Amino acid sequence: MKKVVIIDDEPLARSIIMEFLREYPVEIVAECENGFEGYKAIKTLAPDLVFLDIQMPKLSGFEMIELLEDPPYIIFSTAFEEFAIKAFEANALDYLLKPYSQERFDKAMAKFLGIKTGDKPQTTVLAAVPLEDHLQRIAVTSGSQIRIIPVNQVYCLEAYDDYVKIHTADDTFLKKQTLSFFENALDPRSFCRVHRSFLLQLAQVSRIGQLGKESHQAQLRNGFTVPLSRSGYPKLKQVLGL
Amino acid sequence: MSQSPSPLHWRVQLYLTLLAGGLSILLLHWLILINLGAAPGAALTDSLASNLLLLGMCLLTAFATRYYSPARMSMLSFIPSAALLGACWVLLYLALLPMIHEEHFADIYVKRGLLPRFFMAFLVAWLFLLHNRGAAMMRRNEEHESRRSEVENLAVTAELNSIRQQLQPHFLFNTLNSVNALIETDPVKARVMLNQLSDFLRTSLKKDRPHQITVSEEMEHLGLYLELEKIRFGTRLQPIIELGDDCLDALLPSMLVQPLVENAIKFGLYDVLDTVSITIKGCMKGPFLELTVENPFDPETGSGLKGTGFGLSSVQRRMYLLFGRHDLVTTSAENGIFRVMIKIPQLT
Repeated sequence: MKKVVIIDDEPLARSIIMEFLREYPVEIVAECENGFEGYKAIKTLAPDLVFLDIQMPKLSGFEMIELLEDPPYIIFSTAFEEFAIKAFEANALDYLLKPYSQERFDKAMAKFLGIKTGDKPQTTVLAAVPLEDHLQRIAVTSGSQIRIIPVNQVYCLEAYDDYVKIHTADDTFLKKQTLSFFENALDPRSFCRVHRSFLLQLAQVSRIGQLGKESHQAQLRNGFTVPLSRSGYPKLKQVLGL
Repeated sequence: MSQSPSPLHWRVQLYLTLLAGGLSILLLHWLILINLGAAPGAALTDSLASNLLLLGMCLLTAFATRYYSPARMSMLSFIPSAALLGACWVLLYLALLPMIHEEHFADIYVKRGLLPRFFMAFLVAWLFLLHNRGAAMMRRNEEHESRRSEVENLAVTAELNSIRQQLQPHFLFNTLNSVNALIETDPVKARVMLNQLSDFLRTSLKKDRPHQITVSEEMEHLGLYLELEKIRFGTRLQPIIELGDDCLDALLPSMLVQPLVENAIKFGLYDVLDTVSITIKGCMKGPFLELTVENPFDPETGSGLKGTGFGLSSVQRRMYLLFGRHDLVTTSAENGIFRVMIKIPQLT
């Protein structure tokens, strides 16, 4: 039997999905009311299909999927039509606009049931579209937990292969993302790309010093040092108004 | 249908009439003197000097009394001032005579005609002061009008925004989805919810809304809204309403508290994971109705004191326009609770 997880912060929205699933040969293995529980449920129960709301407290549906390494098939169930395109790009199975009828729901399920055994979900780990203008928070996984880091607590970001190391005052997290993504998503008034591999928060710079004959580095409030590239050094000085 | 020509702006009218009046007086003065036999040149000097002096004194008086507006203005109000001004002018002109005219001219045409000069100055001063008062009144009217239309605009915009907010996915479609869910599992509740939604929207979309409503009316409307949201969010939303008995008949501007509650829910419920209490308190504090809206927020990731876009700033602006004070709306954010307090003066 196929396993299904329902993730929506409104209990009635969850109950209607359960009601619509009544005639289907599926097992509802978990009902979650936010992205954190949803993440845990998906990691531990490995469902085949997930019904997912987008606007949820603290962690949006997109932010949650982004953290999954092996996402299952996803059917979005939301009142917002603005995210349909993003959902399409993420290769979601379907996008149900609340309120929807049993017939519309059945069309979505038909897509799921039509999947041949052996086909893998194509849900891509996509760049979580911030629901405001600039990224205000970054969701990372730490073990099986999700942590939300407010952007002002990020001292700097360091490129690391396919990942980005996010440095806070006394901890480091990894996120599968490119540094360029963060360069564009973060507020340029607060963050500056000073090196091919480094992005730092301007408020955390305590000193700029000389490293070698021609190179410079910036020291952050927690003692961490960030090398400045040849173009990064004047750029940083200009942004800081020096 | 004939179209009347658009009237010239009152300021233009003001300057034109002043100019016309001034020139007429200059001319009149000069012609009288010539008729009496004075030399045109000297007559001109006399006209210019004495009238410019008078104009100067009038302007000075007008400027000095710019902010003085006695409670009851009438046409007779300025007679004493005009008389005083006329008398002072005559004396001043007499004192300056040696600098302006030769003795011959001064003796015949000035010293002998002091009384007529006084009356003319009195008339001119009186007309000038009345004219000035008229201009001040028009200026004040204009200011009142623009303040009034700004209040109207803000109220209308607040209303429109609230309606838009309610018809947006966040509220309307999620609520309809909830009704949809209840239809099979709890049809009685579904019907109740549908009726509540309908009542709520009917009040929100009403065309002729009074500018002020009582606290009990506003709470009834808000109560419906909160009931609907409670059903949507299940146990996660716990609204708490505490109203003093003495404040139920107090008056407040319509559409004032609604946006604040909408924001409290938006920020409270999407910032915090577990149960969220939204508290609305109302009580009388002397001549003020004090209303408070509180919601929890996460100090780390939450918006904290970040206004609420349109909501908070428009409330502050409306309160200023209606009551002329900036201190009626205060916000505070401590211990994870964001609080907005509004003091509404009761004017009866």
